[in-house]
Parts: sequence; structure tokens; C-alpha cells
Amino acid sequence: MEELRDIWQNQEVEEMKISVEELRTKAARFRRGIVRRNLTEQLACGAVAIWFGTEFWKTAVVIPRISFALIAAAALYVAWHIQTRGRAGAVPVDMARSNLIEFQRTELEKQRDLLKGVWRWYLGPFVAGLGLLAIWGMVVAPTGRRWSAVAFAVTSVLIFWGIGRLNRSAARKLEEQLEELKSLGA
Amino acid sequence: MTTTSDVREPDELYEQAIAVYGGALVRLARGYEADADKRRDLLQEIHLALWRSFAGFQSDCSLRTWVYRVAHNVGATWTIRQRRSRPQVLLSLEDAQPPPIASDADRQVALARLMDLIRQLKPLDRQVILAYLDGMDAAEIAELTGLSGGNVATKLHRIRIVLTRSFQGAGHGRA
Repeated sequence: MEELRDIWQNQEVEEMKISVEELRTKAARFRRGIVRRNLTEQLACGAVAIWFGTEFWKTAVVIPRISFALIAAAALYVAWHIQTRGRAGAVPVDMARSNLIEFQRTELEKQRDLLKGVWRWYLGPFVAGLGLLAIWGMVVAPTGRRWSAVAFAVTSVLIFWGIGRLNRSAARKLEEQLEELKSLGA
Repeated sequence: MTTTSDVREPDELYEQAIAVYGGALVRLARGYEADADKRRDLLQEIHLALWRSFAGFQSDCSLRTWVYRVAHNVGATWTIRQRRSRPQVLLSLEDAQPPPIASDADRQVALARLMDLIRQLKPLDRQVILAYLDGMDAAEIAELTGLSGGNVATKLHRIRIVLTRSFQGAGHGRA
């Protein structure tokens, strides 16, 4: 067994040399990457909020106005959530202060909570606005064109249900990994 | 083991860590990534995380433990991330059954097979075997991983069985 450890420890390796200056540059690039990612997601949410906000001002009918306002508010809420989430995340000092089990547990719990909470922070906020819009569409649409409002409602429900189900299933898998980790911990 | 009781600058700590553990980090990265180009990326991530971590270095922890924790946690995160793009079933030590190598196999063959075995393992088992091969004892492995003493003993026992069964006589051939 010692021989195998000797083979491992004395294998030929080419050490990597990175200067502190290079590391500073990389760290700055890394920070810029995170800022850019968050900004992109927030711009997308902002675009949704602006579009529905504009529709809110342009529309005189009460129910669609309320729907558009709710959807715009939902987009702003999602943007705020992304901003909060973007600030969190593992920092290297946490990696050093946690052993692998603690670190993995924290990371898995974060991912699980994000997946489990998808209805609360991502899908749920849009339900009221889209639901109201779909119901209004079905009520006011002429009989011959009611199918398009129904199709809109059914498609929305299916998409939301699908996203929710995928996330729930992924969260369950993470739960299993968490249970496994708990049984191994000191 | 290196302990640091004085307060030092992150840059200085980083340079000291790389001078002492630079080789160990390369070995560790080889245990987490087979592809040479990606391994360079992984090593860069480890270096970057290590350098950034020293801003919060606490002297109640040995430099070695600090370095290994950061490196393994980056490695484990890397493995999880890579599995999303390269799905691969990872095994526990209990399920790993590498075929035995020839008794006259040289060190390079033994090392290549050892790498294959390590890269098949789940992150926690991978960390245990890498720490064991790097010369850590059971107590150090428990501190590094957070496993209970009993679990470390069980895993080390299993590692010895797997390695003995598969690598008996390894390294006797030409180097």
C-alpha cells in the first residue's frame, strides 16, 4: 500500500505558476462576469416590466390594466429576487472554513431551496396577472374566437405545471443526496 | 504540517501555500479532471479560490487544512458542474471494482489505473482516497471531510481492500 502512495506522491507533475497580478486580473474578470449575468437577467425582467407597464398605461379596460400591472410587478419582483440571489453564493473563505460535507450540504440546500421555491419566486408572481388576463379573455372574447383565449390559458397552465414539476423532481433528488450526506456526517 | 500564528498578507500566504502545496494541488486536480485543458482551467479556479480565500485566513486552522479544503471544495463543485454537461454515473467505494492489473505493471500503468479508479468515485469518496494517497492520517481526513471517525475508518478499510485487490505488486515493473 505504501508503494501505491509513493507512486501517487512522486508522480511527475508540472506545477502551475500564476502571479498575484494575474490572479487580481482574473478575480476582476470573474466579478465582471457575475455582474454581467445578473444584469442580463435583470434587463430581461425589466423589458417585461416595461412592456406590460406600457400596456397598463395604454389600456383603458380595467381588468387587463390590473393584469398588466400585476405582470409588471411580478417581473420586478423576480428581478429583485435575482439581484438578492446574485449577491449570495459560495465565497472561497466559506470553502476553507467548511469541510466537504458542510460545504456540499450548504450548496445542496441552497439549490434545493431555489428549486423548491420556484413557485414562490418565479412562477407564482405571474399567476395572478396571467390568470386574470386568461379569464377575462375567455369571458369577453366573441364565441368564435374564444378558443384562442382557452389555448392561451391551457398553454400557460401546462408550461407552469411542467416547470414546477421538473423543479420539484430535481429538488427531490437533492433531498436524497442531503439525506445521504447527513448519514455520513460526524 | 504548517501552522500560522502570525498575521500575514493574503499574497504572502498564497505564495507560501503554492510553494509548499503546489505539487499536491496538481495531483488533486488530476484526480478531479482527466482532460488536460480542462484540468488547467480547474487548477486556475483552485488557485483563484485559494488566493481569494486568504483574505479571511484564520490561524486556528493549519495552512495545509485550509489549502486542501478550498482545493477539494472547488474540485467537488467542478465535478458536479461537469456532470451536467458530461453525464457520468459516479460510484461509491463500496461499488468500485476495478479489475486487477498485471503483477509486473510499471508505475505509469499503475498510476493511470489509479486515476481511472479515482475519477469514477463520488466526490466524498474521491476526497477520502486522494487525502489517503497524499499521506493524510484518519484524524486529518475526518477534519478535512467532516466524516465521523467511524465512517473514515470504514472508508479507509474499503480503500485498502480495493487497492490491495487491484494493485497488488504495482510498481514492481519498470518505471
